[in-house]
Amino acid sequence: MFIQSWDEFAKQAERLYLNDPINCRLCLKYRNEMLILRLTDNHTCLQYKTKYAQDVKKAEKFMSSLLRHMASKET
Amino acid sequence: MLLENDNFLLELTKLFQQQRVKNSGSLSLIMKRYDGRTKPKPKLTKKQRLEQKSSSISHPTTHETVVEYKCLVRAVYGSKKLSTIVSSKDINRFQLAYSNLLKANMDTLKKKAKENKTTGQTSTNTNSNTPLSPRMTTATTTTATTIASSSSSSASNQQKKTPTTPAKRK
Repeated sequence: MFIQSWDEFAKQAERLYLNDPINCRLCLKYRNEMLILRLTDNHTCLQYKTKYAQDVKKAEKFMSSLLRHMASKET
Repeated sequence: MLLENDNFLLELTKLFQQQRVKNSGSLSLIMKRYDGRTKPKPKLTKKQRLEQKSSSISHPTTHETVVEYKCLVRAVYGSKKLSTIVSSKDINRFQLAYSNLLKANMDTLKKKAKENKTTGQTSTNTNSNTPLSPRMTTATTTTATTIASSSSSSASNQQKKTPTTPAKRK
């Protein structure tokens, strides 16, 4: 069940992650001519598929922000 | 294999190159938050659970502890598995290097042929949106001036969208 628009995926993914950050993981599968992103918290799973190069930039920005949030200090 | 951050990035570039050469197989990258545990969390006995409940009711927990999380990054290609742990003080360096790596290596994807927002150039995937968009913006911003200087085609568009304008003319 793939989400069609990137903005929708980003919004839902952020919501899902902030809901339960310790149990969420982002998986990125890179094949020849296809890129699949999957964010899951073991209850629900959001997937995004693309074959275009312009989505790599968006995906990479999203991954960086998520990486920063994951490795941050929290009070 | 658990590696240091720099080693992990080096090995990851090698994996990308291998994938390019072989032209088959999928490279998976996984990111997850990690709280530094090395032992599994044991389940509490009934007694401990009751104690925990009663203590939380009597002393409401004030979160003053600072928890420092790390990030676990894994890469899998075929049978090769790599992993690394990034803590918050290495995050800046790692994140820059990692994003550069991804940008540089994920280049076997297609380029989109659509050109939007350029001056009316036709592409293979044109739809009627592109020629309308500059005209729509002019119609919305300065209706008075465009009414006076409108060409016939745009006038027809305006008549469809803003039915009040012919009334104004009269």
